[in-house]
Amino acid sequence: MKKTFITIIIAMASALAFSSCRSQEELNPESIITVDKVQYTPFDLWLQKNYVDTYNIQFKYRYETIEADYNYYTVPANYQNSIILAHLVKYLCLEAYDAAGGIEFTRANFPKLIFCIGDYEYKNNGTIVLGTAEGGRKILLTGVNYLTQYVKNADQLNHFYFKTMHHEFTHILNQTKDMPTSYQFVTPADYVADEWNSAPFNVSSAEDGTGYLQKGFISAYSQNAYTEDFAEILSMYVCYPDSQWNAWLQEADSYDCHGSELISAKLDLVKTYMKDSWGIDLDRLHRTVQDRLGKIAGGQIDLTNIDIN
Amino acid sequence: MKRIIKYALIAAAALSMQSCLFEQKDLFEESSSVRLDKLMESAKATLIGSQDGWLLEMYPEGSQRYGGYAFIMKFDADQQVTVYSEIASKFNVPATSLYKLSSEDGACLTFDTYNEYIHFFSTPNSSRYQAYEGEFEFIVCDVKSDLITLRGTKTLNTMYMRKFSGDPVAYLESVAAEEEAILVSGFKGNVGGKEIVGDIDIDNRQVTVTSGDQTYETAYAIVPGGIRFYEPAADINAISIDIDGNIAITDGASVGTALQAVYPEGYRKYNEFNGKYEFTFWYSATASGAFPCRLTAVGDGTTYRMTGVAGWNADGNYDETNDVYDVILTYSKSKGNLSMLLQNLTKNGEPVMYNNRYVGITPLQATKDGATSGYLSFESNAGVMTVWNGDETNPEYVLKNNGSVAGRNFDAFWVCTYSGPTQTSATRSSGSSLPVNYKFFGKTHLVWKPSLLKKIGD
Repeated sequence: MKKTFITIIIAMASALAFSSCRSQEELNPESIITVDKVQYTPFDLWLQKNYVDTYNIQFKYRYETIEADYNYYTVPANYQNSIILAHLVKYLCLEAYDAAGGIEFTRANFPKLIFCIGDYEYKNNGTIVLGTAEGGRKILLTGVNYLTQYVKNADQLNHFYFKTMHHEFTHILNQTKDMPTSYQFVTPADYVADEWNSAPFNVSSAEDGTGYLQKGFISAYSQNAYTEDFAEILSMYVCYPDSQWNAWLQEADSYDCHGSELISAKLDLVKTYMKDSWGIDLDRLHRTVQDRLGKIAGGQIDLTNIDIN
Repeated sequence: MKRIIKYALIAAAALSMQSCLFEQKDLFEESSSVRLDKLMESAKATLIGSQDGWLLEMYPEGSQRYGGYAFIMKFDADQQVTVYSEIASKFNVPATSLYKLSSEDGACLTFDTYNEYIHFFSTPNSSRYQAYEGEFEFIVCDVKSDLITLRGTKTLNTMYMRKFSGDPVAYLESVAAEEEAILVSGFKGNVGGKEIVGDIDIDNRQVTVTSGDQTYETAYAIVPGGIRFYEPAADINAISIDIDGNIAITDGASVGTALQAVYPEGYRKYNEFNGKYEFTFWYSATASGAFPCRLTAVGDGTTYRMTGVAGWNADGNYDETNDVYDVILTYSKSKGNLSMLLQNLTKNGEPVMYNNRYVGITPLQATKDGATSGYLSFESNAGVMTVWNGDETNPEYVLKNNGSVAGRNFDAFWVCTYSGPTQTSATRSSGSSLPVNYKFFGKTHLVWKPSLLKKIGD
């Protein structure tokens, strides 16, 4: 009896709860969501053709607060320099990977968003951030307003932009396909984390053999962790000419050290990884990038033409 | 069990008390996004609509501590903005870049490619990692045909774009001229029955107005003929200031009210130096003296003639017929003082020569008593300046290093001769062989510690 009573009450409650308020009004046919009207610049049309249609990569040169890092005071990039940078990235990076690994490789793996800002990101201790790559999706390029000072100088271009891009791109590749485990055992005991930037770890070679080159690291930052080491080997090898690479190897062997063997062993592992995992011949990539850097420095490439026909 | 029934009943009651109220009316006829769209369209049309552009007084930093600066911006339909600014080194060279209106927290006007003027206050560097805390994104709060109200997204400062007409270069030139013309350090007067006192901080473009026990602090921007406040201070929005110290309220509750100029401490007006003086200096390491001379305003607003310096004989008497030169003192309108600077000496405007050489005085930082040796400076603004003791009836002026040459502390002059009109170490010879009437008060060519100009008569 009691059970029935309770059931009835619950049934009534449910019925009341599901009561509807049907309205006679029609829905407003006008959407409350509107889209900002976009006006295109000639450069936008060039980017549409050369970045979006070709690689499905967005190259954002107009400042958007949402893309900027709120921890820094940043400013927009200059329009003319953005055009030059877009040409450089395409010629030195995207098309270099096209040549070495095929365009499908670039399309599938290169980050989908490149965001430019005019000045560097300044920290309160006076140091600056040159560029970052976030989660394999976005690359931030800073200091675009200074670009024209560097265009004719391959070393500066590498230092400020392209070494960073190749370095960060290596991380993205590593996230997709693991790097060889054996890599971390080449110089297992010498990674020093955040101390890489302070003495004695920031010295390339020393009489007592404690320089980073002598210990088998291509750069000071390589000592941070084996993942960084891997990315440094790849990006330094790709970006710098053979003469520079050999000079580093020579310095690695100074004062009876044998750093060059370790660096070469690492480079071999990187080459094998790129070949086996991605089908990319690193030597070919290196030659392509060097050839193209030479042409840029020689002024043989038109970096300002945004004619799309 | 009973308790369950009770709860069930309460639940049922609660559930059954739903309302079907359809009486809620929309406050606006259109949805918020449509209204935002319309605001952006009207903002853009208004921006483009002004042929000569818009005047923006930009205030960086949340407390406006750098003051406001004038920017004249012309917007075109192709997203281009052409900017002239007070901060430019050349007013007639505009900078162009892109702009965009987008929906953020409302309609947002963004200058989204680099413009060397607009982004000046937001461009960081290693010693100023926050730049001047300026910004380049503004929420459009209100659009009228001749006034657009903006709010900075970072600072939340309210700024106005005023419809501009005329020549931007001429406007900026008159702003720069006004900046030069503000010599006063403040103002005072009776406004609407209340005594007010105002202080102007020219370097940071700040103004403080005290009215009764109320104190208002605000920033200002310079406009032709005056300054405009960021916020009203004691009901004053703007005042005019001219180079002669005439000040009046030009915008606010008591427009037209004249205010009295307040000058910086120690400030003297140009015509207040005329009269007979005593000039004190050391003419050797052990001997000093005070000698009479006269200061006469030349009448050009910038120079004074100091007479009676030359023309003394060996007996220590002054002979007017032997007076070969005057010393020219330079009046500074911004500091309200006189300076004795490096110069070639003149008589009635003509350069004074001796044995075909120019006779001049050259400032020196003495390294030996009596100024027998030291460091000469040949910079045109090197010298000493007057510092007033503040006494109106018995004014005295100490002569001090004017600080124009870094690392030099001038405390002496040498009278020298020069082979050409420009003083250099190569053209210089000692003035030791000059005859007595060419020497300072007949005493010496080495003037050590020129220290006091004491007024002794009219």
